[in-house]
Amino acid sequence: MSWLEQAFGLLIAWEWIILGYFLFVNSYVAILLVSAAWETWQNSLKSRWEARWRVQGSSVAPSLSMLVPAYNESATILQSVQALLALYYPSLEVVVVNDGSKDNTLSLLIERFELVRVNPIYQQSVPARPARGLYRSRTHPNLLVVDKENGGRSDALNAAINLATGELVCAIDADTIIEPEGLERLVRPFLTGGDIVAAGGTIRPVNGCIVQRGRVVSVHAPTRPLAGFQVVEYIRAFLFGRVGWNRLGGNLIVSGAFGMFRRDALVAKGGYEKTCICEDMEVVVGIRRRGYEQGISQRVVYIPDPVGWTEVPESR
Amino acid sequence: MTSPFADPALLWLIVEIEVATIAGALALLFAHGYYLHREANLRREILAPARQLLPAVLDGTLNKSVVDTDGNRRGVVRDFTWGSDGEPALVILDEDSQSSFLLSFSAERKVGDVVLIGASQKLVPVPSGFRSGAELLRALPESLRILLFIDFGRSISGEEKGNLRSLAQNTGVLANAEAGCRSLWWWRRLHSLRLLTVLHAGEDIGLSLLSDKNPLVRAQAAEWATDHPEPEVIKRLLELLGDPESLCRFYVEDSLLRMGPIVVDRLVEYLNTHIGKEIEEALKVSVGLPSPQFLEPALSLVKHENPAVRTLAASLLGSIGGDQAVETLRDLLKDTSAEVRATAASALGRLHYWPASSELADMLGDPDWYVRRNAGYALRAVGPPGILVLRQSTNNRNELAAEMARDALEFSDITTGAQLT
Repeated sequence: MSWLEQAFGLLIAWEWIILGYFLFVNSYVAILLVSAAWETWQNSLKSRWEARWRVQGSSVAPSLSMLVPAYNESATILQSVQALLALYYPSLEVVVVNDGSKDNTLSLLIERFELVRVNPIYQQSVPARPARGLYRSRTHPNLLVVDKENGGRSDALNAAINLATGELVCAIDADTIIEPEGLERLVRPFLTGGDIVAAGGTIRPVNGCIVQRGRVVSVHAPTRPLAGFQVVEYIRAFLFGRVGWNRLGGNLIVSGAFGMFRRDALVAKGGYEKTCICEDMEVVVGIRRRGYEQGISQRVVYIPDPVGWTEVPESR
Repeated sequence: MTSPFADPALLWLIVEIEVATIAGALALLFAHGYYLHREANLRREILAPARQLLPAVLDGTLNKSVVDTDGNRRGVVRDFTWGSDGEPALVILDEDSQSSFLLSFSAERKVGDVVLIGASQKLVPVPSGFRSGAELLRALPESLRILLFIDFGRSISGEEKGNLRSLAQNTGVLANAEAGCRSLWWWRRLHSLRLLTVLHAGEDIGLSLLSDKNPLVRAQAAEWATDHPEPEVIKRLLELLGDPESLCRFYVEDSLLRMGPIVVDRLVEYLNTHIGKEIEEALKVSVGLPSPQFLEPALSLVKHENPAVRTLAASLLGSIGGDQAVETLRDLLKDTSAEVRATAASALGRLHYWPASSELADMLGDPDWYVRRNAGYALRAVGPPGILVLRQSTNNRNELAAEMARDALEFSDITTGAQLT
């Protein structure tokens, strides 16, 4: 066989590989698309005309702690914390962790919320760097601020988990803007099943939108192409990928910008892994793995409803 | 081996699939766009004026006399409507001439028992082809009609809610909802029941839906039950405390708590006659409705084999208080379950029961951290005797007890930051 025939044979084999690959990818995407469409439809049927205030006004609703790691966030921290404190939920606690900021994040918080140093009794349930100081607000009793040495986002979240008292904990970025009904939407899955350990919802980029007093009042597409691409990617990833995987039971990630967990499950897993750069995925995989190994059902669910907004980078 | 693309039939198949997919996606997109456009039009033309009018209708404007500022009686408000331009108006019946007129809604001012209008205000004769508000509402697509009633129903109560219910009856909304509750489709039953819940209606159908096969419908029926605290409904709700679905149990507990003291007798009876896991849910409700009537079942349930039940019973005793309760709580400090011991310590602190200070001091050395912490909190809560015990415990030879005593003494008040030491 000449080298030309051999090359031709390789080319044909390559064509078969390409065809097989595209058949696989298209089938996979088609299944995911159908799954996402079904899940979205079911969710819309379940939530139509639902009295959302019912959970918000219930004395048997699970208590909730918002975990907010902040590193050099002096530009946005006051607005973010103010917006969190304005959220309505029957038993809500906000734990802000100043992760060794080099700017005046802590002093801004102390001044604005009249923080005083306290000594709470708490257990080091998951490993975290020691706190330099703990503060409570005179004006907002449900606000706790932890000042600690810099250890990264995972370490800050672990420190917050140690101090959180809620049955549910919600990890968010300091610049996340939460939809007014976002909390209720995320809490609801935990009411539907005792085996649900984590829940996430749709996050959208806030770039280009008009924000007033910590609320998105008008939605617009960003003008810069890089942010615009990310808007499309967010919609694809959340409404198509994660919602689709939800129906198939394969969700392995809850957005770090706004995700909710059962505190017990997080503590049992050992909190966030400090050496991992994609801690959001690692923690969900770890929780699910623990469930499989111990033979207990630990489900992660995803809701297509919008729950929060986050800033995406507009330049490299 | 031949190329897969050498076969024209396969190539055509791939092209056809691609074209069909793109065409399907475009068709879906256009269909959705048309639906949104139609709904936006309906909202603008019908929903918006209806939203403007309904408050006036619901707060009793109907059947009120219309009087102008000169004191002349101009008729009676008989109905409401809106024109093709979406302008809302009240329909006034002139009793002398038995003719109907339209009064622009924006011109109307309600004062006490009459609708007051300007003396120069002209009443426009009702045009031909006039359709009353009820007819217009009936002509709305079902989803928008339900949206309108739900929208209003959630923000009104009392007499206004009754007026809305009457309107729903006149426009066929109630009948449709009751029929929907008998549908084979779970989502129709769910949505119909949601409407009935908002309207405080559906006495004939709600009770049966508490036994629905779909958990979402059962949960909604539990929500519906809040406004129907009849003995039969309460009895059925209590039976649902053992529902396998946590969502149902949540709504049942929530409804029972919202019903308030009216459920206490039934709940006591339930606690005395049940022994299974459902007792936990009943105890959770009881803790939220503390009543001396729960003392007897709580004293009995602290001996239950399930630690979760004992924990809740201890918590209930802490809510009730009294000699028998505190004596039992003191005994529970020696329970085998750490959760029970922690709850008992916490309950004694909540009752400020200082005679238990020495037992609580012993709990500072408990092997379980939560028991130690709750004992520390409890000693802080009982006041000076507890503080004294804590100070003594800082010299305890058990390092765990001494450390927790120090932590409890250093523990700062949440709101003031004031410290004892």
